[in-house]
Amino acid sequence: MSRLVFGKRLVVLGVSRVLAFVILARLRKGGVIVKFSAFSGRSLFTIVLGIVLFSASTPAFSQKMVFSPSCGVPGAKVCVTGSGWAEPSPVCYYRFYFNNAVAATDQPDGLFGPPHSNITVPAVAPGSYPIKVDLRLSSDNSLLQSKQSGDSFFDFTFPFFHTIPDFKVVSSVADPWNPLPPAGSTINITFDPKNVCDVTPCSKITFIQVRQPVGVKADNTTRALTFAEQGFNNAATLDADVINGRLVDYIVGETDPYYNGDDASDIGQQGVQDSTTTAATMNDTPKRSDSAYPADIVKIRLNFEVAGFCAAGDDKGKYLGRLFWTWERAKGAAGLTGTISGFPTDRQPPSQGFIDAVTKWNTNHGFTNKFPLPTPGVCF
Amino acid sequence: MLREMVSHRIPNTLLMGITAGLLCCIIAPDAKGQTCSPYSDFKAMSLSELATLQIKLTYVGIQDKGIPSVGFTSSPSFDASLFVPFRRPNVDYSNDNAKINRFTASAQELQAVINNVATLSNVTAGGVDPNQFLSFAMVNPGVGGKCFEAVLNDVNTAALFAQLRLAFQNNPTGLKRLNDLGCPLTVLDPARPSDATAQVATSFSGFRVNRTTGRFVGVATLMNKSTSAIGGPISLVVNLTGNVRLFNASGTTCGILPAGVSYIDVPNALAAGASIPITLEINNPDSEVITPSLKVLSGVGAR
Repeated sequence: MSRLVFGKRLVVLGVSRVLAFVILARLRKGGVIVKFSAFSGRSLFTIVLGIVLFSASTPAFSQKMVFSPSCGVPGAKVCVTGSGWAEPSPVCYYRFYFNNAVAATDQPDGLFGPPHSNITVPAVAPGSYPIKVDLRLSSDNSLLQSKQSGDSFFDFTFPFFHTIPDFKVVSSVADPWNPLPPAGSTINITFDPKNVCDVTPCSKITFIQVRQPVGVKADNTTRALTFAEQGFNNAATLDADVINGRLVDYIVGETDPYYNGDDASDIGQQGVQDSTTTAATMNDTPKRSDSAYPADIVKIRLNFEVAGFCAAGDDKGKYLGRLFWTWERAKGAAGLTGTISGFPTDRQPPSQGFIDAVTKWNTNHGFTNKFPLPTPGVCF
Repeated sequence: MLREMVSHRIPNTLLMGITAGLLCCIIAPDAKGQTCSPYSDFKAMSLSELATLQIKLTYVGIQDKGIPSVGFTSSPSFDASLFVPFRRPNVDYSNDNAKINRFTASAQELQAVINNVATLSNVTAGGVDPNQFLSFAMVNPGVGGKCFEAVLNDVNTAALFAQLRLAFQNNPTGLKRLNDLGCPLTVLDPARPSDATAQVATSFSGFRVNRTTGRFVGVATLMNKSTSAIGGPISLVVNLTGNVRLFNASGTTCGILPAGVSYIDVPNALAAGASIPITLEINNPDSEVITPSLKVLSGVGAR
């Protein structure tokens, strides 16, 4: 079945090339393309269409190879993907190279379509290294097509012709969780993607914060706390979002689970990682009065897990790292604000408890079909 | 040497007096919160004096995620710093530091606020309720910096919101800001609209990209296909998928399920067989397929 599809695709590409040649040939007058001053809108459109069809149907330009992130430390994972690779009928396979050495298991053809694999950066000195993908015949290993750093490809995004860069190996990657929150009763969190090359293009860097309310008893044992027993408004709605003691931190009425999303009640600034960078920010000041403490509870502790999340752009659906913090207030303490502590960070995906809480929120609030999923072809 | 000179030349009693005076100066800003003007001073202000009045609503109760405050005035811009000197020492105003959602009100609307709230003696009395829930604060820099604050419990907050909604019934932005704050505080209008979806046929036309804003703009036409009028106000609830958002929404649902869905208001009723066009502006940064799911609400009450 897949062979038939590939066969049809080759026919379509062939027709496109013929059509492109015909269009370009018709525009030639005495061997010279018509002068720009003489172009009508229609002829200009025709030329552009011709170039597009020609480029899109020429294997040298139609084969696309991209990798992400563009830099990293030895041991980092690099996702290599592509499109426009016309696989022939004989069985073939993809081979992936880092610095001209095979760097991943060969990918059988047909099973997964275009190239799609993870390379682990080998232990090499900091510097620039080429990445290459070959499409080879299984029968005799002969090379059919190849794309590597320094080659170009065409696609419909500006500037249309793209040169594949080298991968940059660095000794360390800047920490986007910077600066770390200062001590106090309010936590200020910053996720700054500037100079963090493994935070890939994203037009909407948000935070999702999951909380776990815990009651501490006089004997130092703990138990989960419901919002109803703490006297929260909208307690029924909040308690319905709890799974295994955790829930997304949001205000009832919000349209998304993002702490710094698009709601009027959201707090903080969304981040951007592109040609320009903007740091994502948020702040939080949890508060409890003594009346929020059930009779058996002497201290309320809130455990928070915050994840950077790309909500739009090339890397939508991707978690960018985690930060953990804790808030505590003893019953009888002055004021409503407690003390915050913690702040360990890493670049790992969120915990299962976090994922479960987000899934629960998305289900309860009709956001399942709005929550961005990773772009097809992106490795995670 | 200097210490000796000071101790020789200034008697201890005078030193204590100076210290006490300095302490008074330091404490004065907070103490001033308890010596604000009576509510009647604000009720006596003329329309021109009300033009400089600034009003702020701050949630001061228990919370996990902060709840933004709301500020409004008829002067060019709301200035939150005017309220800082009047903060009471035992009330937590940290939500003012996180974010304040602002809107502009006319002097007439501010006068309506003053007059409507004047009917609530628990509010006009000022002071701090033991069950602190919401700070209702006013400052008028144009009239000697007069201030007023009442820190209310949840019951009095609900009564206050009812009066504020009346004062801003013709101010869509004001109502939206009040509802954004009222939703998490559960102080919405207790009435609810009815679901008129089955009585309405909806069609879309003319959708295109506005090159200036980058947003999709088009018209949704609601046609009353029933034989009876649909009472106003009417709201079209537009549930969108993916990263697609209704830009010109009047608000998001809170009183009806599902909560957190954008809607757009139409003030008028819809006679039997009549149609009404509603312009929709849609943010679609990822150029996703727009697949709206619609609901039509009829009558007064919290959406």
